[in-house]
Amino acid sequence: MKQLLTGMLCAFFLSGCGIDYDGATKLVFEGRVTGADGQPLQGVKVSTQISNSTDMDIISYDFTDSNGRYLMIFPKPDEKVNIEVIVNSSVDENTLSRTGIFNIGLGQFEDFKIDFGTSALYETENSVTLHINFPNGIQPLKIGLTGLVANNLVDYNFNEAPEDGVTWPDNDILVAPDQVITLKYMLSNGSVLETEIPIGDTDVTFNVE
Amino acid sequence: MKKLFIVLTVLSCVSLWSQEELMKPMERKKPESRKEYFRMYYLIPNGIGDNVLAKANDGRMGLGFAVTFYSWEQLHIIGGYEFIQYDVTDPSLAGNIKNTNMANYYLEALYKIPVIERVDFNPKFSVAYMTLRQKTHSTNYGQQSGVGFSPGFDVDYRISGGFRVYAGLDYCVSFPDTDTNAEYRSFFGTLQQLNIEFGIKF
Repeated sequence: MKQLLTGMLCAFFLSGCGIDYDGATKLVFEGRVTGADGQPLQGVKVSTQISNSTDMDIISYDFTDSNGRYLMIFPKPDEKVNIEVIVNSSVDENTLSRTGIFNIGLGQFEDFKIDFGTSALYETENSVTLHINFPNGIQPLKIGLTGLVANNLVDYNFNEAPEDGVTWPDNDILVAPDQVITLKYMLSNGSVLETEIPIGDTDVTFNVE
Repeated sequence: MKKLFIVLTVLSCVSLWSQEELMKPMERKKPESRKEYFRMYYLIPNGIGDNVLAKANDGRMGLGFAVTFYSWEQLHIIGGYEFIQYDVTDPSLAGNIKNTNMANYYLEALYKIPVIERVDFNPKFSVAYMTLRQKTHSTNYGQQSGVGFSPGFDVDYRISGGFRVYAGLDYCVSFPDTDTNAEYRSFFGTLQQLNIEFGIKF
């Protein structure tokens, strides 16, 4: 009897979890994936992930077509969720880089749609390492990189100060050689600064001035 | 006078009896004897046109039943419920979800046209309140609701008494409430089906 009661209580509380969706409202994500040379990449898996503190759904996915384009349409989740798009989300091992676009707010849709533009991926076999040093006493609240990065995290709402601490990537970041990366960072006063980092064919340590 | 009265009475009785006897075979063919009161059916759903049901789902099955509320001559007013299930085949358009379930609560006008003794042709038109739910097992991904209109027909064959088997074809257009990008509003908000149904009536 006690076990039955415990089971019923668990079922009751678990039924209160999960992510709620509004089936009548359909949100649209679209974009394009290219290689480092700017040519469209076909067959790259792109996923939309919805999560809250207890649950996670891969609510939609698509494979890029011959023009590198993807389209994902899915029911609108409730307000208190994280929405993330993962470009190259295939679980099969591949050598392509990966980009996660996160911090997508429901207020950022225009006519229920977001076009993420072009995400460029590269073959990560020939990566170099980028290490970024900030001057003593400066601790940015968040940083973002634009360029060919092996596991890039793109904050879609970069200019909004983080609510839950500092968004900070790994110390050593794998990037493609022979490119210029744009580093964007937010200082504790909320100001956002940008600087360019030239990358050659060897590992780089970049000191922010 | 008395004799005349008796003869007229007898003739009237014979005449009435004869009329009744003559009418019996005709009465059997009267539309009233072809009335239907209840039907239950299996449905093969097919999404057609350029909409999410047709392009991102595959018809799985449907079940329904209906009851005649009112009939006058060949006209039947029928109320019914049907449940139709689709499998999602394109997660980019319909979401990474297992099933799309449609429920129709409908009111139908059906007109029975006798073709031959045991066969009726039945054109019909129904108006439905419909809901569309997407589910993966017990997980619910929200609901749309709206109205649907369905012209169609069926042909039934009377096996014995009032018991019939039938098959039919229904075109169904549904308008679930939809908020989305203008480019996709019709894709999600105007659904078309051409459904095959077969079942029993009595």
